[in-house]
Order: sequence, then C-alpha cells, then structure tokens
Amino acid sequence: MNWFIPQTINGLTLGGVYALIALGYSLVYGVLRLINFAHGDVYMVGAVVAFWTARWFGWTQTADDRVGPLLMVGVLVMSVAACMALGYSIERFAYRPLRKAPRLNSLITAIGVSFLLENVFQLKAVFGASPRGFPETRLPWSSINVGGIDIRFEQILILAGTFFFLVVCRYIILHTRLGLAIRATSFNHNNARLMGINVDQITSMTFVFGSGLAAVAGVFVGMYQHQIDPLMGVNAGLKAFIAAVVGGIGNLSGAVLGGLIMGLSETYIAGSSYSDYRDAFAFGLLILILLVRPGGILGSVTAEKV
Amino acid sequence: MSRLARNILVLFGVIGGPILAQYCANRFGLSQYAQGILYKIALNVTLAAGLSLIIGFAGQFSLGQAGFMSVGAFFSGLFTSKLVLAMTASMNPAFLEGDTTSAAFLRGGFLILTMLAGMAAAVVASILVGLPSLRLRGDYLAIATLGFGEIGYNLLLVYFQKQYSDTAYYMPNEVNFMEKTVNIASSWTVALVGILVVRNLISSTAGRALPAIREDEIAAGAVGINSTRYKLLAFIIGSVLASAAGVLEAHQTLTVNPANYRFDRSIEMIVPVVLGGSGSLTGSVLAAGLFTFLLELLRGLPSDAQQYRTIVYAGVLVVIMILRPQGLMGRYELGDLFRYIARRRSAGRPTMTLPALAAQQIIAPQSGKLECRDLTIRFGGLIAVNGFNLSLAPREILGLIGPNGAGKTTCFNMITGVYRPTSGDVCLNDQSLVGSKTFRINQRGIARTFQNIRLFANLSVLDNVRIALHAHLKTGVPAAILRTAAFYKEEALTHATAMHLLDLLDLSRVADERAGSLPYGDQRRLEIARALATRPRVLCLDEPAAGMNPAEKRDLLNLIAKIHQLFQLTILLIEHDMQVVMGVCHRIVVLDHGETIAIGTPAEIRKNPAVIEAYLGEPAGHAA
Repeated sequence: MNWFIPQTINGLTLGGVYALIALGYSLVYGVLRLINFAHGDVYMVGAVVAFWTARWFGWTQTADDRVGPLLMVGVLVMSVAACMALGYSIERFAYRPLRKAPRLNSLITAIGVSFLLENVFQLKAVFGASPRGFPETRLPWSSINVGGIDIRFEQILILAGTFFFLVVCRYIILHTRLGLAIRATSFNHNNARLMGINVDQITSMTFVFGSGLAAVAGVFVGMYQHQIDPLMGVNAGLKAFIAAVVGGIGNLSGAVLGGLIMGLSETYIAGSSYSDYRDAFAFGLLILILLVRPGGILGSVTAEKV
Repeated sequence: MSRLARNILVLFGVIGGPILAQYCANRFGLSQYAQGILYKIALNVTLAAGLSLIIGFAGQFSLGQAGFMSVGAFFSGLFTSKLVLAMTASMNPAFLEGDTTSAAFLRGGFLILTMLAGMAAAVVASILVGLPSLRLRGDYLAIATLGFGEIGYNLLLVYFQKQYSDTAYYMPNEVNFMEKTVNIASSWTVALVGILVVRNLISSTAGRALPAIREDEIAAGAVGINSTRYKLLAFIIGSVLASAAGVLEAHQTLTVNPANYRFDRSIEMIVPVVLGGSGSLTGSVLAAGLFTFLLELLRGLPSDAQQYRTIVYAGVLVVIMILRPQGLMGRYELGDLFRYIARRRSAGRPTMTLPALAAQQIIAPQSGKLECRDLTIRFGGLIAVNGFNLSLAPREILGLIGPNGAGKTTCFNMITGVYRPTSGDVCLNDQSLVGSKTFRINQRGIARTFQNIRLFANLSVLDNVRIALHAHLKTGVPAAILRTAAFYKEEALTHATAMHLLDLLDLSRVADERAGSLPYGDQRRLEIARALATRPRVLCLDEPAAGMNPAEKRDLLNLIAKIHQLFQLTILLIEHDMQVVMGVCHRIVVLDHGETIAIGTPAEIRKNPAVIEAYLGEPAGHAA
C-alpha cells in the first residue's frame, strides 16, 4: 500500500494534465468533427510562452531563482492569451479555408500545422531542440504530509485546476447563450446558421477556449516537472486525444474521466514490471474502446440515416 | 498489337527495365549517391502506389502504414540473417560475395526469397489489423491504425531490447545483397510491379468496387458489393507493398530500426499521395518521386539551413492543401490524358443487341415472390413498423403509400438488410433473408433505389452501372491484375451491358459525365439503371417520382411499365404521387404510423375511408 497511494496521486496529477488537453480536443471535435492534431503543440507553446514571459520579467533561468506566486499568475495569463490567439489563427487561416473540402484534407492540414509548430520551436532562434528548465515558484509550502504520504503543492494545484475548469466549461456549455450556440453548431451547422448563429464565430470560440485550456496545462506541467521541450506536446497530445476518445469525444465530463483513466493506468503500469509496455497498453485500450464502444464510456453514437 | 503481345511487353519492361538501368548505371559509373537517390525514389513510389489504393481509391484513411514497413523489415531482416548465417557456418562465406555472375544471381535469389517472407508476414499482419479496424470509419479508422502502428513499435522495441540489448537490429555483413549489384534493379522492379498491380486493379470492373465504397458504402452494399472483403483486399495489397519497401530498406541499410517506422513516417508516406491527388494513382506516384527528389536537393543546402527543411515541407503541405484541396492531379490519370489526345470516348452506341446479351445471360428476365411476415422494428421505445405483412406475387407491381413518417422507407431498409427487424421474417421465393448482409440480399435478387439519391457521385455514369454488374462477374481480382484473355472478354461484355442499360433509360448520351453533375431526373433514372444492372428479381423503388414535373412523371410511368415488361420483374414502389401509384400499380398497401391500414386495388384504395382519413386528417363522414 505504501506504493499504491503515492502512485495514485501521481496518476491523478498526470491525468489532470491529460484531461485539460483532452477538453480542447473534445470541444473542437464536437463542433467541427476534426481531430485537431496541432492541439498538443498548442499545449507546448503554452509552456514556452510562460518560460519567455518569466524571463522577460527578470527570471535568471537558474533553479535557485524562484519566481513569486503573483508573477506566476501573470505568466499564466500571458500564456493563456498567447495560446488563445494562436488557436484562433490556426482555425482562421489553416482550417476555415478547408471547411467544405473532404475531411481527409483538414486532417492532413492539422498534421501539417503540428509539424510546423514543432519544427519552428526547435529552431535555435526560437526555443531550441533541447529541454530547458522552467521557473520554479516560491510557494507557501512545497508539500504537505497526509498520513505519511507527501503531496506536492503543484499536484493539488493541477487537480483543483482541472476540476475548476471542468466546472467552468460545463457551466458555459450547459447554462449560457454561448453554450447553447455551441451545442446547436455541434448538432448541425446549417440548422444553426438558419437560427441566426454565426457558426464561424462559434467555431473560433471553441478553438480559443480549447487553446486556453491547453496553455493552462502547459504551464502546470512546467511548474510540476520544471522542464519543457518543443516536442513535449507530441506524446501528451496523443495520450490526451486517446483520453478524449476513451471518455467519449464531444463529451466534457468524458474527457476528464478519460484523462484520469489514462493518467492512472499509465502511472500504475510504469510502476509495475510491465512498464516497457505502457504505450502498447494505452493504444490497446484506445482500439478496444473504438471497437467495443466507439462512442466512448460516456458518449453515444448516432446511426446514419438511409 | 495483340493483347498477349502487349502483356508480354509490359512484363519485360517491368522486370527487364530496372535490370537494364542497373547495368547501365554500373557500366557508365553512375555515382553511389545518384544510385541511392534513384533507389529512394523507387521506395517512395512503391509506398505511394500502395497508399493510393488504400486512401485514394478505397477511401480508408490508414495512419499506420509505416508499421507494415517494419513488419517487412523485421521478418525479412531476421529471416535472411539467420538463414545466411546458418549457411555460411557450413560453407565458404565468400559464396555470396564477389563479382561473379553466379554470386550476383545468388544474391538476387536470396533477395527474392526474403522479400516473399516479408510479404507473407505483411499479409498476415494486415489481416490481423484490418479485420477489426476496417469496421471503423473515417477518423476512427485513422486513429485505430495509428494505435496499431504504435503498439507494433512498442512490441518490436521491447523485443530488441530483450534479445539484443539494443533499440535496433543490425544485420551481419554477409547479408549485404544489395550494395552495388542490385540496388536500382531490385527497388525499381518492386516499384513497377506495385504500380502495375494497383493500376490493373483500379481499372477493372472488380476493382471499381473500391471507389464505389469510397463514394457511398451503403449504396455499394445495395449493388451487391461485399465492402468488408474489398476494403480488406485494398488494405492487404497496400500493406504488402509497404512491407516490400521495408524489406528493401532493411537490406539497403542492413538495419532493422523500429524507430524509423513510427507515426511520422506514416505521415511522410501519406503526404505525396494526398498532394498528388488522392484519387489519382498517376498523381500520387509522380508526387512521391518528385518530393523525394526535391528533398534530396534541399539536403545540399548548408548545414545550418537544414533545420528549415521540415518547416518548408510542412508549410508547403498546408499551403497546397488550402489552395488545391483535391491535390495536384485531382482524379485524373495518365490514361485520361491519352484518351483526351486521342479523343477516344469510352461511351458510344451499345455494341451488342438485347438478344445477344440475353444469350450471354447478362440480361435474363426473372421475377420473384416477396413476402414479409409480421415485420416489426423498434428504435428504443418507438415502434417504427408494427406487424407489417406483404405478399408480392411474381411480376406484380405493388405500391406502398402512406403519410410522411408512416414507416415506408423503414420497410425497405428491413427488406434490403440495412436494418435488422426486431421480429418477423422477409422471404424471397420462400427463403428467409433476415440476418443477411445488404450485399448478400442484393445478390439474391432484391435491388433498390434510394429516396435521397445515393449515386457514386464522383464516378462516371457508365461506371455507376458497370460497378453494379460486379456481383455477376466470373473473372475476379486475380484475373484483373494479370489481365487474362477471359478478363478482357468479360470487360467488353460488361461495357456492352452497361451501355445497353443506359440506352434503355435514355442515358447513353451522358455515359461519360460525372454522375453527380446530372440533372435530377437523370440521376433518378441512373439509380434505376444501376439497380437493374444487379439483375434483380424484385425491384424496390423509393419515391422515384419525387421532385419530377408532370411530363417527367408521365415518362417515368411509361418507363416503369417498359422495365416491368422487358425484365419480367416484381416491383415494390414507394410513392407519394397518386398519379404514378394509381397509374402503374396492380395493388396498393397503405401504411400509417407503422400499421397497415388498407390493402387493395387502386380503385378500392381510392374509396377506403381509413385511407382518406390518414391523408386528410378527418373522418370520411364529415367530408360528405
């Protein structure tokens, strides 16, 4: 048991990060039926912008130089704003022109955008290919001890953050006018247009939302692992996507549930003697869900009308 | 030139050409670097040909094709290494090396053997992956194949780490078959055979099932195409080609490195296919060759410019996708260019008369007895059709009418196997059809049209009909790939039959047009032609007169009568238009809210109070 509880906490933390990214996948898929392959890279950009902002505010890029909590909040806000702008531009300039083209084209374009971001950020002039340290935060306490188990402040922050954003998202989607418009758009673009909804604007909004959440996840991971690199979005993006599908893509609670499942299973397997097979397990789970319950755990599938 | 002579010439070109090229390259001292580029082009062309079949023609988006390269690399790499090492242990190790002709032949022989091993493994692997995942559609298929690819990578990596304490397997130097002697020859032979197989398949009646599935899987099933079988076939062929490329790469680099065959490699393979035009073999193959060449040119840049290579690549990809979503060549093939130059149209007047076709048993008048017994279907709590009974005598024309939402089309969907009834039975000539797949039901003699037209919109009018003749072909895929004499004979017959059917429905003048570009009335008639081509006993027409003007409706009435007389068919007709229903039907069944409320002759139905109420919404007595 002395192994199980800390691993569970680690797993939930990782799952929280996946969940935040998965929310963005789910939002965009719900509205556009597009797998936004570049989403994982937006998460990476979020971490990088935070890194830049901290440096701009005088952080000396050393592990000893801890930044204050207030500055960290400022860094987070900058990062979210930058990623929202990035998400908006990706949708506006790469996906919108292809709205009427076959779905395959959008998928290829998404992959192209993803490659583009990864490689631009690997340039020395931009960020560089190797990992760099992320500013540590001066915290009121670094960890608390509950019944002999250390829980880090960042872990609580990530889990609380995930839960907070899930509640906010659900509120927006289910109880606001904007949310109603998003749901209508997700149901049928043409019908939504006939009801006076600006579908393009709603689509942009979902990208902006999703990208903002990805930025939060990027900053959280930076704070938690103290290290970021330009390819950090590849693996996290894939895992988060699997999480979204496992939970039921298009379903917000499903995204969070899927994220936690992915995070927990990955941590448990990594701690077991089967740790070499953890990717095979993750993808195996994905395929199993696709075959047995294509709508995901909380989702549903609609049949095609003949 | 006779067809046999042409086939032999093609065969010599495919095998002799690369060998000749290799000979010339060695004779005139083409640099190893240049030979390497030629080899790389062949490799990518092979991959593009295979993927073009899977993605472009069958419309199945696989993101895991690099995984099949690793299957080929792994099995052939280990197979040859073990085999050759076992042999050299007992023999003079020089027997495979050296410049003698016999050594060269031996190396070639080994390469062929190892290639077959790799391909066989790929067949097994693609069936194991394809059977479950090809049930999924669109994005979901892409994700599942991506998942399989990553699982394969994971397993190979762990295997190598356990077995060799390394992330890759390095083949012993004795296995170096390809260097100098067979680099170009082997890779280009594989590439040309690959292109030929794919081309022969897609330009045959059997192979046209693939674009039909891409266009509309439900309609493909309704004309008797077993879509599972064809999707799997395309997947196997494409994967075998990928595996052959993997075999070549392993033997060229003497390495089996699973890290080379991950997600990004799959993407790298897909890019030229989509950019060249995902429905065009010519476009995909040309783009693959061109891209390989251009990327090699970029390699010549100074080293600090190298980092921009992938950025340029990804940028070009995004820009081309936005500017020309259909790819550079769209759906055009090289053959279309030749045809355009020669002004040769595939259409023209039918070359065979009806009696001649009947003699070949292509158009055989036949009819069937269709019965529905207590057919019931529930969707959740809704009972869409309840206890539907129907008995159609051979050669009867029966109309199925009722207000919107009465369950008419649902009955059609149950009869044709699109929906499985909750209870009850459908029988054709006293044999039950319940539980059979749509394509099987079509093959047993029930053809249908759709309420919302479901043509293969991007294919030609002629192809729409030719595809429907598919289930009755005697020569199959192997004959199409090998271009046997029987294949050519049947292809001519198929063409003649299709043209005859088009002529019958007054569509032969538009045979070369894109089906989706036809006016509405023509599209409706093309659906009927396509249904007739499957040689039905029972024809189910779902609102054929919808959207037609009075003159068109009169023509349609005459047409249905003509078809009925010519093909001796049993016809089940859903229609709202009373002029059509009353004019052509022997008997009429009226449905309302899933229940049968009246059966009788047109005259009886006209006077039936329940029918009047269902349509006008008030008791008949009040009107009087």
